[in-house]
Amino acid sequence: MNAEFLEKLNLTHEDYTYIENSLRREPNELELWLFSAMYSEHCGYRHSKKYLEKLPRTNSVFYNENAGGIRIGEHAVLFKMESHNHPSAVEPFNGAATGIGGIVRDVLAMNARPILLVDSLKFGNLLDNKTKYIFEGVVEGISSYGNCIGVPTLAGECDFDEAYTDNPLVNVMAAGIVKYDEIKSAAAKPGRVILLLGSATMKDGIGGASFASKDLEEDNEENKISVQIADPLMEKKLIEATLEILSAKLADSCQDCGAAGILSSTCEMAAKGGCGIELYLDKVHVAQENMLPYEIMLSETQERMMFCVSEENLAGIRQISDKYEIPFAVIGRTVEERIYRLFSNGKLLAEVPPELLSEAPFVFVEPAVLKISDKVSVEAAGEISEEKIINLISNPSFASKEYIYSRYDYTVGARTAIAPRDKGIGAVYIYEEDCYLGFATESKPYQVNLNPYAGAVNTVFDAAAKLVASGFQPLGITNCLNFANPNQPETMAQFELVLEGMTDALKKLNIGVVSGNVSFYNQTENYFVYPTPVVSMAGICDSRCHFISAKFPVFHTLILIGNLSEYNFGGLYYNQLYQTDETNFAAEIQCSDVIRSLNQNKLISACIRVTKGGVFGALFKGLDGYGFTAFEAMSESAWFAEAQSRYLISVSDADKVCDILRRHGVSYRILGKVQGEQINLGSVSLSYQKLYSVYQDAIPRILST
Amino acid sequence: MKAGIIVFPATNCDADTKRACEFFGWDVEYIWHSEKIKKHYDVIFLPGGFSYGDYISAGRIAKFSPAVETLPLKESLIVGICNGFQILCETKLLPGALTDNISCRFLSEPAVLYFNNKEIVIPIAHFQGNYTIKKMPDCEILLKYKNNKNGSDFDIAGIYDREKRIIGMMPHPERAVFQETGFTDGRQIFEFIKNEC
Amino acid sequence: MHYSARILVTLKPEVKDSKARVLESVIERKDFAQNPVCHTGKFYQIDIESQNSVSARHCVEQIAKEVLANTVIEQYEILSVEETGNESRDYSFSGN
Repeated sequence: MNAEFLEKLNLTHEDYTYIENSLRREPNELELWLFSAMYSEHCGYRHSKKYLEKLPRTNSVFYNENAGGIRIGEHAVLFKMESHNHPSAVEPFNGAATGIGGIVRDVLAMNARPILLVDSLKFGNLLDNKTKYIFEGVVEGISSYGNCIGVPTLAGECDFDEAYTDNPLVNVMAAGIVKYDEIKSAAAKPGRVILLLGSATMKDGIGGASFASKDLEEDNEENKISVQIADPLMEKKLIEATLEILSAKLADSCQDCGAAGILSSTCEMAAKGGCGIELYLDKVHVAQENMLPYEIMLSETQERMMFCVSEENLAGIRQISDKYEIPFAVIGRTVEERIYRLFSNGKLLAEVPPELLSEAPFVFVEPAVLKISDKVSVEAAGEISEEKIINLISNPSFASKEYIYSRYDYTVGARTAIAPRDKGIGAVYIYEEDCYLGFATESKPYQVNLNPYAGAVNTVFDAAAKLVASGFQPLGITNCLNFANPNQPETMAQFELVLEGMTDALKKLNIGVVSGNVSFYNQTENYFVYPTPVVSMAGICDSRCHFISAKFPVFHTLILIGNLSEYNFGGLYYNQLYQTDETNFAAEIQCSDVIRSLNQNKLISACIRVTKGGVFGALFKGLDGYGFTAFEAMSESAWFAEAQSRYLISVSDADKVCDILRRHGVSYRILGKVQGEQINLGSVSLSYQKLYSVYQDAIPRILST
Repeated sequence: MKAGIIVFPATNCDADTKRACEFFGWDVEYIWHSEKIKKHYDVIFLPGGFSYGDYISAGRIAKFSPAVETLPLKESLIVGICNGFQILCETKLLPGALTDNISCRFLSEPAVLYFNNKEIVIPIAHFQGNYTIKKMPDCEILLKYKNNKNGSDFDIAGIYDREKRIIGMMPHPERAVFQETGFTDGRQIFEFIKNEC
Repeated sequence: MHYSARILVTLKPEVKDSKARVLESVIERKDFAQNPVCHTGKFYQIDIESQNSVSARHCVEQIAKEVLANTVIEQYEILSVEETGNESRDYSFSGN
């Protein structure tokens, strides 16, 4: 086989030999296209799958399907996060919008009604014009798509760093609810027909899967046609039609058409069902003439779903598709024999075992031995100044994200119990089970970069802590692991350590991973992109009266609890210096226990996890119209260092609470009282209103320059 | 009390509106957009969402649907919420037009509104909520924004043509009914609707 | 000199035009016409000052390429670049 063609398909010589040996013949050109897509990093998890197998799966259900989940009573909440980084870099609006569409169809395929979205976004420096363009496009894409399909975008995070200038990260999560015994698998059954419902197939996004599996800088111009176009109207119709079809039990299995389109969805259905599939490409409804077989198979035209159905149910499905005005076509059938065959106009074009396609060979890259620098020189703490504080507050990574979330319809669905706010958790009411489901999203790329293991532990614990601080009990996570080129030993070393860190942290919390996604090749010529594992954690709360507020009431006393050991860590957003502190497991468990106990006894009025901006950051975000007076002056590092395992709580009866804290063996420090109009730290005093307007206006102000 | 809710492709507040009506014990039915309305309803809702994706313009395509063309005017109270209000303006059943917000961005927030000379809080979520009319409309102003962010003339958030028995509003009262969401002021709107039926 | 440019931005032919599809279905459903084929796009009028018509066209080309259209999915057509002399500008397209 010609080497140039293999290279174009992103297949290695080893891949080719493996395919040839497995087939016991030379694969034809179309077959190679199929392998190219299925053996891409995006579809095949070629560098990552062996590592992912080790993740704890505590409490998770259906994690081998499109999206895993957590059982709650008679229902299950299914959720999954996915990256759409590369498409968003090239066409921000459609890239981000189709990211939403794709992840929604993942939970939809399992018969779950999507009820919320979460996003984690990383952009370059917002002062940069290219970043402004990508930022606006991505936010508008999520907004217009999520709003139109009526799924609220409830929580998220957004950071800005030069590192992400050419390679933004757009990670989106969808959660859906379904009756536990009505969850639909993707496994096909033999003797059925294969039906494709949704948009007519076009040449958009061809090779998208392999495109996401390459460095972004390579042949940019040629890749440009690989973006997919969003049609939220079709998606909304598809959501309703799919749920109608599945709830009427008209289909045996269902799978979304995502990366590698028809190929990946049908191949997965056959492999999962242990049967075979024959497809007739001339039957696929297309919107463009002269589409080649490989184009039809690999097209990533959005808003399509694949069903495996009995022939007698076709009439029922036709009624539903007519009602919603969605085109569909019967494009194939399932057979007992475990084979994947493609025909066009009666001619056999390709014939391979489905498992050979769906089980891409694992590629082992020996991880490098990383030097973990446990000490980065951090300048001795200096004087606290108004200027430094304004710099922190106006840093777009710290500042209010209202500019973003006010563009998301976060109340549609009439379930929203905690709207997006700067605390980073959103929650919905699950009326089906009379409980509340919250989501917290967290990532710590800078920490992971310095110390992948500790950074990953901290990421998981901070996500859990945000839930605990709001009165929620952690249930499980989905993750999106954004890393650089997996062929580099350093990347794999980071990857392995991050998974170890995550595993250990999850085991301490006694929760597991329900689903996830790996995105490699996040790197560009001009910038080093941080390894960025993103965690989105679900939590549960039984009643609104157990929610803990994030706003400190006036005249309440603020107490810092948790790990109070002396720290000389920098504050990323304060002085751009940082180290990776290590999570203190004992302090974490003690703190979450005591917060729960204080909450049950109604002794805590508000609680915030100390993260960005250190203690001061938590203090500022918790203030609500009033100032604060510190009882004693503290050092700059005490106020601004970003150390782990700490919460800031507000209480009305400080004596009683301190007594309980002592009994629980929790370290604490009484900081001061919420009062007046000034934030008075002893050494410096600032107007709360002034800081608040700086905080609110930071992002719009930068965008308008 | 019998309520009908018209559902267009990409209507997304149909289920929320139904749940809200049922909270008040009303009898609710969906009306698919391609059906002509033949039954009697005390109130017919055109709910929020993005009918036909709001492609071309918000509410533009939906006005051609058989359900809208056969609205039993005067017989039923007609209530358009958000996209429903946009459709009613597009059909010229209500005066004025809803154009892009002055920010040229989608706006989602709990809005403070004046209703019956009282302040109430109800979520708004729209891109085209800028109510544009040359002079004060010849009908009752039902809701006004306290902080008018979308640029609506005369701060109008909702109107009521008593003559035609048609109400249009941008805020979403159906999202402010259930205690669990933390907002319950929408109940006052539903009670008002009931009294007008 | 003052120049007035008119630019049309449309989706590339191979890109799905969802709005056009919805438009076609309503045209057909309402019996305005049979089998209509629609395309959608955005129209811009941009008035600029420039040395001469060559530099004006070059400038408009840059604006179209970098600001108005994302050439990944969109194409633009400069319908016209006309000299409008030195008289005051016409803002009739601004919508006010």
